Amino acid sequence: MGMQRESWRALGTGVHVLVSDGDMTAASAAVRNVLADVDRTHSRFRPDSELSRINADSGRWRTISPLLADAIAAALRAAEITDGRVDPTVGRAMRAVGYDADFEQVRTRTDPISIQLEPIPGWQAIRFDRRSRTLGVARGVEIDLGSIGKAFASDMAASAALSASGRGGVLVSLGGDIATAGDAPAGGWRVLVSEDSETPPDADGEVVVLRDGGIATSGTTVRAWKRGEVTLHHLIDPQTGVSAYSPWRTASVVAASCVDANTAATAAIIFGASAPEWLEGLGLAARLVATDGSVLRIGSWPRAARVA
Amino acid sequence: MKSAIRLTAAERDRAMRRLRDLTVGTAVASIVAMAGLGTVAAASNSGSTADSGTTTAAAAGSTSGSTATLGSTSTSSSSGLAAATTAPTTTSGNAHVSSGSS
Repeated sequence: MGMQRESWRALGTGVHVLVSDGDMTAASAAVRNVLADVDRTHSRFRPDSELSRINADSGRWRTISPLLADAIAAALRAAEITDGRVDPTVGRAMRAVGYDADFEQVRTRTDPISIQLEPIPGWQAIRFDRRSRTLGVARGVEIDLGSIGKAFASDMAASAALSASGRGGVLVSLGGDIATAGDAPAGGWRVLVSEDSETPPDADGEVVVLRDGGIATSGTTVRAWKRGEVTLHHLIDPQTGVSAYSPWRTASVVAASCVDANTAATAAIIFGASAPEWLEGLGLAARLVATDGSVLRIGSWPRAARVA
Repeated sequence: MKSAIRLTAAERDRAMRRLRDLTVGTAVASIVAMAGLGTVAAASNSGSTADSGTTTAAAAGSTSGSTATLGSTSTSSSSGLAAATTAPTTTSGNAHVSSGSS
């Protein structure tokens, strides 16, 4: 049956589903269902989402849905592993730097913004009993699942698509956060590593081949906006409470899952100068692009076969 | 003026037995409550999950509605991020998709 492909937009970003030797219709439907569930549960911009209701009424215990519980568990794990560099309690800081609506709205505002710096509560302000799905968030703390939420959705969608497809292999890209499941096609899954996930896959650039796992790219240049003379972006440094100042503008990581890849990529931006050592210590394949455009390949990341 | 209640020896013994039973029952209930509270406190440890060793795959295993379980590609645990089973390679061919920031 060969490779089939379907693309659309959801969660404010591009969705691409590739199926190798399987049922594309069933796979696509499964991905759409996952993304609809994720949107209803995790969205920070839907006032009726489960997460928005929790953020609007913090300071008490509640039982949360299985889907949100899974995402919270993934976010807390990421925070623990990165020693708080990837922290889900940056919701207020995200609003403070102007990211308080859908990104299409955020990028149109150009007037100067007055930012009141506040300490980030830190992931320890979240109390969570995984077994009973009981969540306690300190009063005033706002959870933002941000990039982890997207990677988490990619992993789930790929798995759901494979189950629905019945055989072969599946790749799901959600805004450039890519998860695979099942058997890779002959020649593997070929991924263009780019600054912007909207770059056409046939554009010039570095192409890596995956057989399993996931790949994610975090960066400071795409989801960025200018307020007055200051450029801000969505990667909040929990130590400062504002957009991270990093020597890296883009970090791409290959890992066993998209969540792990995204966690490492985002943390690498925040870690800054110590990111290469941290990534090497974890044994991850990574590609860092410095603000001057120079590229640093880490671990088993291959040397480029074709660069524009 | 109240008059003293006079009990028979049998009634006194019965009352003493009841008081002892109540004392023992209260002690047992206190121990059970302490154990229960300790369990809840440990499970709701600040900022972490009760199943701290739960893998991402297992964490995503219980889903709602139409969502499905996560595949077996993830082998990560709370102790660290896991590398893919197969290291990435490179090719000069066209890509299927792009990974980038969004």
